Amino acid sequence: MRTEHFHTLSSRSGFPNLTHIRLVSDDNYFKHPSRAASQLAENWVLRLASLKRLFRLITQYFVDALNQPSSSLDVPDLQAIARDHDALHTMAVCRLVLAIAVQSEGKQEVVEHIKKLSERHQSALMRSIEEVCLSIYSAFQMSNSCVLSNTIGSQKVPTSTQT
Amino acid sequence: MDESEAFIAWLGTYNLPTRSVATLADLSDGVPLFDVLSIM
Repeated sequence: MRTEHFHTLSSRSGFPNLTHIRLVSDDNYFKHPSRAASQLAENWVLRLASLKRLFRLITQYFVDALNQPSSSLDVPDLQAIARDHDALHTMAVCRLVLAIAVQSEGKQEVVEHIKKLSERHQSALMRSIEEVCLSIYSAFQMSNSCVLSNTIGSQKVPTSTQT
Repeated sequence: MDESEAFIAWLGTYNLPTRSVATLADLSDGVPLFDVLSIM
C-alpha cells in the first residue's frame, strides 16, 4: 500500500504556490512482521505483539492517509484475539482492514475481488464497510469519506444462486 | 456468521504469501491481514 505524507510549507518559503511537498513515499506501510509466521502461530504473546503493530498501523493509516480520525474507530480486544481466538474482536479488526481496503489506492481492484463473491457475501461485506463508515460519520460528520462503499452498493451485483 | 464467512471468502480471492485463511482463528496473529493490506 502506497502512502504519501504531505507537509505544508510556510509562507516564508518564497514559493506561495508550492503549498505541499511530499516528504515520504512508503510502499511498505503494512510491511510484514519480521518474525516467521510459524513462530507467531505458536505463541500468543508474539501474536499479541503482531496484532498491536497491525492495529497501530491501521489507526495511523486512517489518520495519515485517509484523513479520518482514529478516535472514532472501535478498539478491539487484541489480547482476546491473540490468546483466545475471539471471533467478535477478530471481526472488529477485519472491518477496519476492509474499510481501509475500499479506500486505498487499489480500491478498484478490491471492488473487483468483492464482486467475485456471492451476492450474500457481498451484502455482508457492504454492511461491514457501512458499519465502520457510519461510526466515522457519526463522530465527525465527515461528508467526503467512505464514498466507495456507496459506489459498490450502487453497482449491480451478480444474480447468484448461492444458498 | 455471514460476515465472517464473507470476509474469509474475500481473503480467499487473493494469493496471500504466508498462508491461506480457512477460519477466523487463522487471523489471530494478524499476518494474513498484513499480507492483504500490503498488496492493496
